[in-house]
Amino acid sequence: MNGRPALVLATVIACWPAGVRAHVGSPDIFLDAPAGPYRLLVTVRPPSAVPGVADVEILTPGGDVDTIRIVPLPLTGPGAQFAPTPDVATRSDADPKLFTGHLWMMSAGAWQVRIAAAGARGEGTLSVPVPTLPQTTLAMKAALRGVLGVFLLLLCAGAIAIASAFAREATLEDGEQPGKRHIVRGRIAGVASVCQNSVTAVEPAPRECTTGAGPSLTKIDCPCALWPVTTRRNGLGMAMS
Amino acid sequence: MTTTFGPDRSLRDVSVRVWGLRAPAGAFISAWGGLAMLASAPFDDWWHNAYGLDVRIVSPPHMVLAAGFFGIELGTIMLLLAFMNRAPASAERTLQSLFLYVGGMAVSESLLLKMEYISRSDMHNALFYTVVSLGTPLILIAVAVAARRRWACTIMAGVYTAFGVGFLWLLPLFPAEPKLGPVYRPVTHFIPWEFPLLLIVPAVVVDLLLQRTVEWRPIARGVIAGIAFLASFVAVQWPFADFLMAPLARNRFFGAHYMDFNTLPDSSYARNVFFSRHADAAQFWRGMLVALLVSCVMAAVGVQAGRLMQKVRR
Repeated sequence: MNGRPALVLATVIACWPAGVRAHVGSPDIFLDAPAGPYRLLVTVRPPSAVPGVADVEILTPGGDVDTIRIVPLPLTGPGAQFAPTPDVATRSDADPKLFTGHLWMMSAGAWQVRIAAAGARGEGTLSVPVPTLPQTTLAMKAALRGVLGVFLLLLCAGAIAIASAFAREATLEDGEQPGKRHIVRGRIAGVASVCQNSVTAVEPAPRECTTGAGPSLTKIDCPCALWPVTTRRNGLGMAMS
Repeated sequence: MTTTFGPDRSLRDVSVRVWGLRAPAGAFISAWGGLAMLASAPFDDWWHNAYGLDVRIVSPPHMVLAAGFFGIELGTIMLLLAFMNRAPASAERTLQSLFLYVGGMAVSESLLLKMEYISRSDMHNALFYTVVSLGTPLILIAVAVAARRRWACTIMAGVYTAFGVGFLWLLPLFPAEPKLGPVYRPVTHFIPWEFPLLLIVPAVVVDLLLQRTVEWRPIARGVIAGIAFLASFVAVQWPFADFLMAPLARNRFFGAHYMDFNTLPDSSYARNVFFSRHADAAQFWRGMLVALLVSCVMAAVGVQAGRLMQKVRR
């Protein structure tokens, strides 16, 4: 092929308007490393939302590991000193060399999954660094939206009906039938609760604009120490004291 | 169903009608609360999947849940109220006690919801007093006025206090260990609530005031009760917070040494110091004015609601 047609072909390909999708990186962690005397092939799938559950798979090619315990720890800082109670990874029925487990990663940042393997040749540990960051926000499925919509309608209609009935009849003597005055009072209470329910139903909209469409700003843009979680726990803003 | 379709007409005579069904108003309110709690379950599940596990109490699905359990409690209060207002004198005392117990539990739950804003590091902030005034005087005064019993606020505050110290003294007896990281301090047992707020003092003051102002106009009664509630609460809780920060409070009785595994070592709470949310004194006093306003409005609404509740018979 001489130069000119090749150039034309390259230009056409470069300008081709079809969208192209490609995988440009995976948050999953793969590690082939020893834990003492045992060789382990580790896969950690960090959660897409944080705090969330990370999936851990450990393959033991030697097949001589009896139990594996896994525990998540921050990589550095004061939280790295004390470990929570480790989880025992479950041995697969289909492949006895495969162990799986699930771990809660409670904040974004640099974490490690500490793996302790035990078998006939003693014990060994391995730490796998795991970065965690919220990646996506789960969209609400149509079915769930429908279910919650029905609940919302029932709750709003129920609140209106109950408020109306309460105002109409709750103070009547035994067996007394509601008169015109009571019926009007009930309708006023119903209208008042319609207004209240309208506000309640619309109120979440601004919140949805900030958190529904994408990952929560506070969970991504702010350092984890500034997340608006329990002030007592993370010392939100407490540096001001 | 028994009231709507059963043969007993006397039940229908003391019921209200909603969508063709008949039952006491409290039963409908409780059912509404149950439905709200049911609705919160799938909402909360989705929220966890979308935004992760809750690390805070105040989130939208939790508020739906809270609306549900407060609905159930309000329904129980209304149910008891209707029974109480129709009961013969012989049964009135027992029903009043039950009524005040449920009121005390409502106070406990409302403060449980606010737990993140009322820790001891916050007790010298105006926001703390605003948050406590939000709802607490309303529940206490509304139930007390409706109950028409001397020392009703004191009894409800006593229920809350007993509930709080019960947790404080019993929970640490049970072994526990952290299952989630990060673990900032080793923990070997359950960590309880802090020592309950000294609501018992403003409750006594408000009771005395309500007993002496029966003839007053409701709005004036509410405003003065709101001022008394906040003033007496600040007077006792402020110095008590100083005490809770001191080493003397770090024992099993006051429990100031209990800290959960997730408490950061350099946080104000862990260092037993107060955390200031105010840039200057003027901001603090503006906050306290807001707290006073909230307390007065809540108390006035409480007096009015209590008067309306006195008339509930169904």
